[in-house]
Amino acid sequence: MEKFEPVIIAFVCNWCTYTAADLAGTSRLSYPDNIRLIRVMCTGMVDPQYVIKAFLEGADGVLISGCHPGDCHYINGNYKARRRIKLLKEILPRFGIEKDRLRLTWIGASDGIEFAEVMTKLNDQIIEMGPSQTRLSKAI
Amino acid sequence: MMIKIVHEDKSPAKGLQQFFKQLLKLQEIDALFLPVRLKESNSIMPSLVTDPERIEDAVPFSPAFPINSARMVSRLSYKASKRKTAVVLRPCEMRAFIELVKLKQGSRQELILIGIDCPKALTSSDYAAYTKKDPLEDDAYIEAIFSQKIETLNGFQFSTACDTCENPFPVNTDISILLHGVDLSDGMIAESKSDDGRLLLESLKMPEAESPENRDETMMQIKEANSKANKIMMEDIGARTDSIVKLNTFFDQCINCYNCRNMCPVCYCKECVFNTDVFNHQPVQYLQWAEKKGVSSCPQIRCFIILPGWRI
Repeated sequence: MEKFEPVIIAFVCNWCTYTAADLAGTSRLSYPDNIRLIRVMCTGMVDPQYVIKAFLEGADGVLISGCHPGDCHYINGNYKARRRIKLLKEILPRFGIEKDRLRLTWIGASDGIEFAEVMTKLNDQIIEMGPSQTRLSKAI
Repeated sequence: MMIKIVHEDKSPAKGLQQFFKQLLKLQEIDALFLPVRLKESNSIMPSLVTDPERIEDAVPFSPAFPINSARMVSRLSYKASKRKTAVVLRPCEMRAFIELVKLKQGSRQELILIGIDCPKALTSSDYAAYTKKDPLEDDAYIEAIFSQKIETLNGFQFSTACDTCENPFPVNTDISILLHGVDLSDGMIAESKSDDGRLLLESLKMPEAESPENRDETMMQIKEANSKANKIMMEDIGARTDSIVKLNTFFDQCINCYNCRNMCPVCYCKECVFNTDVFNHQPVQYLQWAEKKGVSSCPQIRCFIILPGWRI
Protein backbone atom coordinates (compact mmCIF):
# COMPACT_ATOMS: atom_id res chain seq x y z
CA MET A 1 0.00 0.00 0.00
CA GLU A 2 1.19 3.48 -0.87
CA LYS A 3 2.37 5.46 2.12
CA PHE A 4 -0.02 8.23 3.10
CA GLU A 5 1.58 11.63 2.61
CA PRO A 6 -0.62 14.18 4.38
CA VAL A 7 -1.01 17.77 3.30
CA ILE A 8 -0.67 20.06 6.30
CA ILE A 9 -1.16 23.79 5.99
CA ALA A 10 0.57 25.88 8.65
CA PHE A 11 -0.29 29.54 9.15
CA VAL A 12 2.72 30.91 10.97
CA CYS A 13 3.33 34.28 12.56
CA ASN A 14 6.03 36.38 10.91
CA TRP A 15 7.52 37.45 14.24
CA CYS A 16 7.72 34.13 16.09
CA THR A 17 7.07 30.84 14.42
CA TYR A 18 8.25 31.85 10.97
CA THR A 19 11.47 33.11 12.50
CA ALA A 20 11.71 29.83 14.43
CA ALA A 21 11.30 27.98 11.11
CA ASP A 22 14.12 30.12 9.72
CA LEU A 23 16.24 29.26 12.73
CA ALA A 24 15.47 25.57 12.31
CA GLY A 25 16.63 25.89 8.69
CA THR A 26 19.86 27.70 9.50
CA SER A 27 20.48 25.19 12.31
CA ARG A 28 20.16 22.39 9.73
CA LEU A 29 17.25 20.81 11.58
CA SER A 30 14.92 18.88 9.34
CA TYR A 31 11.14 18.69 9.55
CA PRO A 32 8.58 16.95 7.31
CA ASP A 33 8.34 18.57 3.91
CA ASN A 34 4.61 17.98 3.54
CA ILE A 35 3.95 20.85 5.93
CA ARG A 36 3.33 23.92 3.82
CA LEU A 37 4.04 27.15 5.63
CA ILE A 38 2.02 30.25 4.95
CA ARG A 39 3.58 33.28 6.56
CA VAL A 40 1.10 35.75 8.06
CA MET A 41 1.94 38.96 9.87
CA CYS A 42 0.06 37.77 12.97
CA THR A 43 -2.09 34.76 13.89
CA GLY A 44 -4.78 37.35 14.64
CA MET A 45 -5.25 37.77 10.90
CA VAL A 46 -6.00 34.10 10.29
CA ASP A 47 -9.66 34.23 9.46
CA PRO A 48 -11.55 31.03 10.33
CA GLN A 49 -12.44 30.93 6.66
CA TYR A 50 -8.80 30.33 5.75
CA VAL A 51 -8.85 27.25 7.95
CA ILE A 52 -12.16 25.99 6.63
CA LYS A 53 -11.11 26.61 3.06
CA ALA A 54 -7.92 24.66 3.62
CA PHE A 55 -9.94 21.69 4.90
CA LEU A 56 -12.48 21.96 2.09
CA GLU A 57 -9.68 22.05 -0.44
CA GLY A 58 -8.42 18.75 0.90
CA ALA A 59 -5.88 19.59 3.60
CA ASP A 60 -5.46 16.77 6.12
CA GLY A 61 -4.38 19.09 8.91
CA VAL A 62 -4.09 22.78 9.67
CA LEU A 63 -1.66 24.34 12.10
CA ILE A 64 -1.78 27.87 13.38
CA SER A 65 1.28 28.90 15.26
CA GLY A 66 2.09 32.24 16.81
CA CYS A 67 3.76 34.04 19.67
CA HIS A 68 3.39 32.99 23.26
CA PRO A 69 0.54 34.70 25.12
CA GLY A 70 1.69 38.17 26.11
CA ASP A 71 4.40 38.29 23.42
CA CYS A 72 2.22 39.29 20.45
CA HIS A 73 3.83 41.93 18.27
CA TYR A 74 0.36 43.45 17.86
CA ILE A 75 -0.51 43.13 21.56
CA ASN A 76 -3.47 40.73 21.37
CA GLY A 77 -3.56 39.05 17.94
CA ASN A 78 -2.72 35.63 19.34
CA TYR A 79 -5.58 35.89 21.84
CA LYS A 80 -7.95 36.52 18.94
CA ALA A 81 -6.53 33.46 17.19
CA ARG A 82 -7.03 31.41 20.33
CA ARG A 83 -10.70 32.37 20.52
CA ARG A 84 -11.25 31.58 16.86
CA ILE A 85 -9.59 28.19 17.13
CA LYS A 86 -11.72 27.31 20.13
CA LEU A 87 -14.81 28.11 18.11
CA LEU A 88 -13.57 26.23 15.06
CA LYS A 89 -12.93 23.18 17.20
CA GLU A 90 -16.61 23.34 18.17
CA ILE A 91 -17.86 23.81 14.64
CA LEU A 92 -15.66 21.49 12.58
CA PRO A 93 -16.68 18.18 14.25
CA ARG A 94 -20.34 18.96 13.43
CA PHE A 95 -19.42 18.64 9.79
CA GLY A 96 -17.35 15.54 10.21
CA ILE A 97 -13.89 17.13 10.43
CA GLU A 98 -12.09 15.78 13.51
CA LYS A 99 -11.04 18.60 15.79
CA ASP A 100 -7.56 17.12 16.24
CA ARG A 101 -6.82 17.96 12.62
CA LEU A 102 -6.66 21.59 13.69
CA ARG A 103 -3.84 22.61 15.98
CA LEU A 104 -2.78 25.84 17.66
CA THR A 105 0.71 26.18 19.08
CA TRP A 106 2.90 28.94 20.44
CA ILE A 107 6.47 28.78 19.17
CA GLY A 108 8.81 31.68 19.98
CA ALA A 109 11.40 33.08 17.57
CA SER A 110 14.26 31.34 19.36
CA ASP A 111 12.57 27.93 19.50
CA GLY A 112 13.96 26.41 16.29
CA ILE A 113 14.35 22.99 17.89
CA GLU A 114 10.82 23.07 19.26
CA PHE A 115 9.54 24.08 15.83
CA ALA A 116 11.10 21.03 14.19
CA GLU A 117 9.79 18.75 16.95
CA VAL A 118 6.24 20.12 16.81
CA MET A 119 6.13 19.76 13.02
CA THR A 120 7.39 16.18 13.15
CA LYS A 121 4.94 15.24 15.89
CA LEU A 122 2.02 16.89 14.09
CA ASN A 123 2.88 15.11 10.87
CA ASP A 124 2.98 11.76 12.70
CA GLN A 125 -0.38 12.44 14.31
CA ILE A 126 -2.03 13.30 11.01
CA ILE A 127 -0.55 10.20 9.36
CA GLU A 128 -2.04 8.15 12.18
CA MET A 129 -5.45 9.78 11.66
CA GLY A 130 -5.39 9.04 7.96
CA PRO A 131 -6.56 11.18 5.04
CA SER A 132 -9.37 13.65 5.65
CA GLN A 133 -12.79 12.89 4.20
CA THR A 134 -12.70 16.08 2.12
CA ARG A 135 -9.60 14.87 0.33
CA LEU A 136 -11.21 11.49 -0.26
CA SER A 137 -14.52 12.86 -1.46
CA LYS A 138 -13.20 15.90 -3.31
CA ALA A 139 -15.79 17.99 -1.52
CA ILE A 140 -15.41 21.06 -3.69
CA MET B 1 -47.53 48.30 36.33
CA MET B 2 -50.15 46.61 34.19
CA ILE B 3 -52.97 48.24 32.28
CA LYS B 4 -55.87 46.77 30.39
CA ILE B 5 -56.30 47.37 26.66
CA VAL B 6 -60.00 47.16 25.90
CA HIS B 7 -62.23 48.15 23.01
CA GLU B 8 -65.92 48.82 23.20
CA ASP B 9 -66.59 46.38 20.31
CA LYS B 10 -64.46 43.74 22.06
CA SER B 11 -62.21 43.78 19.02
CA PRO B 12 -58.60 43.03 20.01
CA ALA B 13 -57.25 44.51 16.74
CA LYS B 14 -59.10 47.77 17.18
CA GLY B 15 -58.25 47.84 20.89
CA LEU B 16 -54.56 47.65 20.03
CA GLN B 17 -54.89 50.31 17.35
CA GLN B 18 -56.58 52.57 19.89
CA PHE B 19 -53.80 51.88 22.39
CA PHE B 20 -51.10 52.75 19.88
CA LYS B 21 -53.01 55.80 18.73
CA GLN B 22 -53.16 57.13 22.27
CA LEU B 23 -49.50 56.34 22.73
CA LEU B 24 -48.59 58.30 19.59
CA LYS B 25 -50.70 61.24 20.70
CA LEU B 26 -48.57 61.55 23.83
CA GLN B 27 -46.10 64.40 23.75
CA GLU B 28 -43.28 62.08 24.73
CA ILE B 29 -43.58 59.95 21.57
CA ASP B 30 -42.72 61.42 18.17
CA ALA B 31 -43.13 58.33 16.01
CA LEU B 32 -44.25 54.74 16.19
CA PHE B 33 -42.58 51.90 14.30
CA LEU B 34 -44.86 48.92 13.74
CA PRO B 35 -46.27 46.67 11.01
CA VAL B 36 -48.79 48.51 8.83
CA ARG B 37 -51.01 47.15 6.06
CA LEU B 38 -50.17 48.94 2.84
CA LYS B 39 -52.96 50.82 1.10
CA GLU B 40 -54.93 48.81 -1.48
CA SER B 41 -52.83 45.77 -0.76
CA ASN B 42 -52.71 42.83 1.61
CA SER B 43 -49.00 43.27 2.20
CA ILE B 44 -47.93 44.23 5.68
CA MET B 45 -44.64 46.08 6.13
CA PRO B 46 -42.90 47.57 9.15
CA SER B 47 -43.54 51.30 8.90
CA LEU B 48 -42.79 54.47 10.77
CA VAL B 49 -46.02 56.27 11.68
CA THR B 50 -46.20 59.87 12.83
CA ASP B 51 -49.86 60.65 12.08
CA PRO B 52 -52.11 59.12 14.78
CA GLU B 53 -54.94 58.83 12.25
CA ARG B 54 -52.88 56.42 10.16
CA ILE B 55 -52.70 53.96 13.03
CA GLU B 56 -55.93 52.43 11.77
CA ASP B 57 -53.86 50.53 9.20
CA ALA B 58 -51.53 49.11 11.86
CA VAL B 59 -51.56 45.33 12.22
CA PRO B 60 -49.08 44.39 14.96
CA PHE B 61 -50.48 40.85 15.26
CA SER B 62 -50.57 39.11 11.91
CA PRO B 63 -48.95 36.10 10.24
CA ALA B 64 -46.97 38.47 7.97
CA PHE B 65 -43.26 38.65 8.71
CA PRO B 66 -41.57 40.05 5.60
CA ILE B 67 -38.37 41.10 7.35
CA ASN B 68 -36.79 40.96 10.76
CA SER B 69 -37.15 44.63 11.74
CA ALA B 70 -34.13 44.66 14.05
CA ARG B 71 -31.93 45.91 11.25
CA MET B 72 -34.36 48.71 10.43
CA VAL B 73 -34.54 49.73 14.07
CA SER B 74 -30.75 49.70 14.13
CA ARG B 75 -30.81 52.17 11.24
CA LEU B 76 -33.33 54.30 13.09
CA SER B 77 -31.27 54.46 16.24
CA TYR B 78 -27.55 54.18 15.51
CA LYS B 79 -27.21 57.97 15.70
CA ALA B 80 -29.11 60.49 17.78
CA SER B 81 -32.21 61.98 16.16
CA LYS B 82 -33.39 64.01 19.15
CA ARG B 83 -36.77 62.34 18.76
CA LYS B 84 -38.39 59.58 20.74
CA THR B 85 -39.64 56.61 18.76
CA ALA B 86 -41.66 53.70 20.11
CA VAL B 87 -40.93 50.47 18.25
CA VAL B 88 -43.18 47.42 18.29
CA LEU B 89 -41.17 44.25 17.80
CA ARG B 90 -41.73 40.52 17.89
CA PRO B 91 -39.62 38.66 20.50
CA CYS B 92 -37.10 37.44 17.89
CA GLU B 93 -36.77 40.95 16.47
CA MET B 94 -36.27 42.30 19.96
CA ARG B 95 -33.51 39.81 20.75
CA ALA B 96 -31.78 40.56 17.44
CA PHE B 97 -31.95 44.29 18.10
CA ILE B 98 -30.48 43.89 21.58
CA GLU B 99 -27.58 41.96 20.01
CA LEU B 100 -27.04 44.84 17.56
CA VAL B 101 -27.10 47.29 20.48
CA LYS B 102 -24.35 45.24 22.14
CA LEU B 103 -22.35 45.59 18.92
CA LYS B 104 -22.93 49.34 18.93
CA GLN B 105 -25.08 49.18 15.81
CA GLY B 106 -28.14 50.60 17.51
CA SER B 107 -29.09 52.40 20.68
CA ARG B 108 -31.96 52.19 23.14
CA GLN B 109 -31.40 55.81 24.17
CA GLU B 110 -34.18 57.36 22.09
CA LEU B 111 -36.38 54.30 21.77
CA ILE B 112 -39.26 52.87 23.71
CA LEU B 113 -39.17 49.14 23.07
CA ILE B 114 -42.61 47.56 22.97
CA GLY B 115 -42.52 43.78 22.87
CA ILE B 116 -45.45 41.61 21.92
CA ASP B 117 -46.33 37.98 22.48
CA CYS B 118 -45.37 36.33 19.23
CA PRO B 119 -48.30 35.92 16.82
CA LYS B 120 -46.28 33.39 14.73
CA ALA B 121 -45.73 33.83 11.02
CA LEU B 122 -46.04 32.19 7.65
CA THR B 123 -43.16 32.26 5.22
CA SER B 124 -43.37 35.23 2.84
CA SER B 125 -44.46 33.10 -0.12
CA ASP B 126 -47.06 31.26 1.98
CA TYR B 127 -48.37 34.54 3.33
CA ALA B 128 -48.82 35.91 -0.19
CA ALA B 129 -50.78 32.75 -1.13
CA TYR B 130 -52.75 32.83 2.13
CA THR B 131 -53.97 36.40 1.57
CA LYS B 132 -55.48 35.31 -1.74
CA LYS B 133 -57.30 32.36 -0.19
CA ASP B 134 -59.92 33.69 2.20
CA PRO B 135 -57.62 34.95 4.99
CA LEU B 136 -58.86 35.33 8.56
CA GLU B 137 -59.94 38.74 9.78
CA ASP B 138 -57.41 40.39 12.12
CA ASP B 139 -59.55 39.72 15.19
CA ALA B 140 -60.21 36.12 14.23
CA TYR B 141 -56.49 35.55 13.72
CA ILE B 142 -55.57 36.99 17.11
CA GLU B 143 -58.22 34.90 18.84
CA ALA B 144 -57.22 31.75 16.99
CA ILE B 145 -53.49 32.08 17.53
CA PHE B 146 -53.61 33.01 21.20
CA SER B 147 -56.14 30.34 22.08
CA GLN B 148 -53.62 27.82 20.65
CA LYS B 149 -56.42 26.18 18.73
CA ILE B 150 -54.80 26.16 15.33
CA GLU B 151 -51.89 24.09 14.10
CA THR B 152 -52.08 25.39 10.54
CA LEU B 153 -53.58 28.49 8.96
CA ASN B 154 -56.08 27.66 6.22
CA GLY B 155 -53.86 24.72 5.35
CA PHE B 156 -50.62 26.72 5.46
CA GLN B 157 -47.96 25.51 7.88
CA PHE B 158 -46.44 28.14 10.13
CA SER B 159 -42.78 28.90 9.59
CA THR B 160 -40.52 26.20 11.03
CA ALA B 161 -38.59 28.88 12.91
CA CYS B 162 -41.83 29.85 14.70
CA ASP B 163 -42.90 26.31 15.45
CA THR B 164 -39.51 25.57 16.98
CA CYS B 165 -38.97 28.89 18.77
CA GLU B 166 -38.19 28.41 22.44
CA ASN B 167 -38.77 32.02 23.47
CA PRO B 168 -41.85 33.47 21.79
CA PHE B 169 -42.41 35.90 24.67
CA PRO B 170 -41.25 39.51 25.00
CA VAL B 171 -37.96 40.19 26.83
CA ASN B 172 -35.76 43.27 27.33
CA THR B 173 -38.67 45.61 26.70
CA ASP B 174 -39.95 48.87 28.14
CA ILE B 175 -43.55 47.78 27.60
CA SER B 176 -44.76 44.22 26.94
CA ILE B 177 -48.13 43.47 25.39
CA LEU B 178 -49.43 40.19 26.76
CA LEU B 179 -51.97 37.97 25.05
CA HIS B 180 -50.93 34.43 25.97
CA GLY B 181 -52.93 33.15 28.91
CA VAL B 182 -55.06 36.29 28.91
CA ASP B 183 -58.84 36.24 28.53
CA LEU B 184 -59.09 38.32 25.35
CA SER B 185 -62.81 38.94 25.76
CA ASP B 186 -61.85 40.90 28.86
CA GLY B 187 -59.12 42.87 27.06
CA MET B 188 -55.38 42.56 26.56
CA ILE B 189 -52.66 43.59 28.99
CA ALA B 190 -49.80 46.06 28.62
CA GLU B 191 -47.11 45.68 31.27
CA SER B 192 -44.37 48.19 31.96
CA LYS B 193 -40.90 46.71 32.32
CA SER B 194 -38.90 49.89 32.88
CA ASP B 195 -39.36 53.32 34.42
CA ASP B 196 -39.82 54.89 30.98
CA GLY B 197 -42.48 52.31 30.17
CA ARG B 198 -44.25 52.86 33.48
CA LEU B 199 -44.37 56.64 33.00
CA LEU B 200 -45.85 56.21 29.53
CA LEU B 201 -48.50 53.76 30.68
CA GLU B 202 -49.39 56.07 33.56
CA SER B 203 -49.90 58.97 31.15
CA LEU B 204 -52.34 56.89 29.09
CA LYS B 205 -54.73 56.86 32.03
CA MET B 206 -56.15 53.46 31.20
CA PRO B 207 -57.65 51.04 33.75
CA GLU B 208 -55.13 48.98 35.71
CA ALA B 209 -55.06 45.23 35.27
CA GLU B 210 -54.03 42.30 37.39
CA SER B 211 -51.47 39.70 36.46
CA PRO B 212 -53.15 37.02 34.29
CA GLU B 213 -53.50 33.76 36.21
CA ASN B 214 -52.94 31.26 33.42
CA ARG B 215 -50.06 32.99 31.73
CA ASP B 216 -47.16 31.12 33.36
CA GLU B 217 -48.80 27.78 32.69
CA THR B 218 -49.55 28.67 29.05
CA MET B 219 -46.00 29.91 28.52
CA MET B 220 -44.61 26.69 29.96
CA GLN B 221 -46.78 24.57 27.65
CA ILE B 222 -45.74 26.53 24.57
CA LYS B 223 -42.08 26.40 25.57
CA GLU B 224 -42.19 22.65 26.13
CA ALA B 225 -43.92 21.91 22.83
CA ASN B 226 -41.60 24.19 20.85
CA SER B 227 -38.47 22.90 22.60
CA LYS B 228 -39.46 19.38 21.67
CA ALA B 229 -39.98 20.40 18.04
CA ASN B 230 -36.68 22.30 18.14
CA LYS B 231 -34.79 19.26 19.39
CA ILE B 232 -36.23 17.09 16.62
CA MET B 233 -35.35 19.73 14.02
CA MET B 234 -31.77 20.10 15.29
CA GLU B 235 -31.27 16.33 15.30
CA ASP B 236 -32.60 16.14 11.75
CA ILE B 237 -30.35 18.95 10.50
CA GLY B 238 -27.40 17.49 12.41
CA ALA B 239 -27.91 14.13 10.70
CA ARG B 240 -28.18 15.79 7.29
CA THR B 241 -24.98 17.83 7.68
CA ASP B 242 -22.65 15.65 9.72
CA SER B 243 -20.04 15.38 7.01
CA ILE B 244 -18.65 17.77 4.45
CA VAL B 245 -20.19 15.73 1.65
CA LYS B 246 -23.63 15.91 3.28
CA LEU B 247 -23.14 19.59 4.03
CA ASN B 248 -22.42 20.22 0.37
CA THR B 249 -25.51 18.26 -0.60
CA PHE B 250 -27.53 20.31 1.91
CA PHE B 251 -26.41 23.48 0.16
CA ASP B 252 -26.35 22.23 -3.40
CA GLN B 253 -29.02 24.73 -4.41
CA CYS B 254 -26.99 27.66 -3.07
CA ILE B 255 -26.02 30.20 -5.73
CA ASN B 256 -24.03 32.52 -3.43
CA CYS B 257 -26.66 35.26 -3.59
CA TYR B 258 -25.90 36.04 0.08
CA ASN B 259 -29.53 36.82 0.74
CA CYS B 260 -29.27 34.89 4.01
CA ARG B 261 -26.51 37.28 5.02
CA ASN B 262 -28.63 40.27 4.08
CA MET B 263 -31.76 39.02 5.81
CA CYS B 264 -30.29 37.77 9.06
CA PRO B 265 -30.10 40.70 11.48
CA VAL B 266 -27.21 39.27 13.44
CA CYS B 267 -24.96 38.84 10.41
CA TYR B 268 -23.60 42.09 11.65
CA CYS B 269 -20.18 42.90 10.10
CA LYS B 270 -20.12 46.37 8.61
CA GLU B 271 -17.74 45.21 5.94
CA CYS B 272 -18.37 41.68 4.77
CA VAL B 273 -15.41 39.52 3.82
CA PHE B 274 -17.43 38.18 0.90
CA ASN B 275 -17.45 41.67 -0.62
CA THR B 276 -13.73 42.10 -0.31
CA ASP B 277 -10.90 40.93 -2.49
CA VAL B 278 -10.42 37.78 -0.41
CA PHE B 279 -12.61 35.86 -2.84
CA ASN B 280 -11.97 38.04 -5.86
CA HIS B 281 -9.53 35.57 -7.37
CA GLN B 282 -7.46 36.13 -10.48
CA PRO B 283 -8.87 34.50 -13.62
CA VAL B 284 -5.84 32.25 -13.82
CA GLN B 285 -6.61 30.97 -10.33
CA TYR B 286 -9.99 29.57 -11.44
CA LEU B 287 -8.36 27.90 -14.41
CA GLN B 288 -5.67 26.41 -12.20
CA TRP B 289 -8.29 24.92 -9.89
CA ALA B 290 -10.14 23.47 -12.86
CA GLU B 291 -6.91 22.03 -14.29
CA LYS B 292 -5.96 20.55 -10.93
CA LYS B 293 -9.29 18.87 -10.28
CA GLY B 294 -10.66 18.33 -13.77
CA VAL B 295 -13.80 20.21 -12.82
CA SER B 296 -14.36 23.17 -10.52
CA SER B 297 -17.87 24.40 -9.80
CA CYS B 298 -18.56 28.13 -10.08
CA PRO B 299 -19.55 29.59 -7.68
CA GLN B 300 -16.97 27.55 -5.97
CA ILE B 301 -17.60 27.41 -2.25
CA ARG B 302 -21.19 27.36 -1.16
CA CYS B 303 -21.18 26.04 2.36
CA PHE B 304 -18.92 28.81 3.67
CA ILE B 305 -21.51 31.40 4.23
CA ILE B 306 -23.50 29.44 6.76
CA LEU B 307 -20.65 28.58 9.05
CA PRO B 308 -21.11 31.23 11.70
CA GLY B 309 -18.82 33.20 13.95
CA TRP B 310 -16.17 34.64 11.69
CA ARG B 311 -15.77 37.86 13.54
CA ILE B 312 -14.96 36.99 17.10
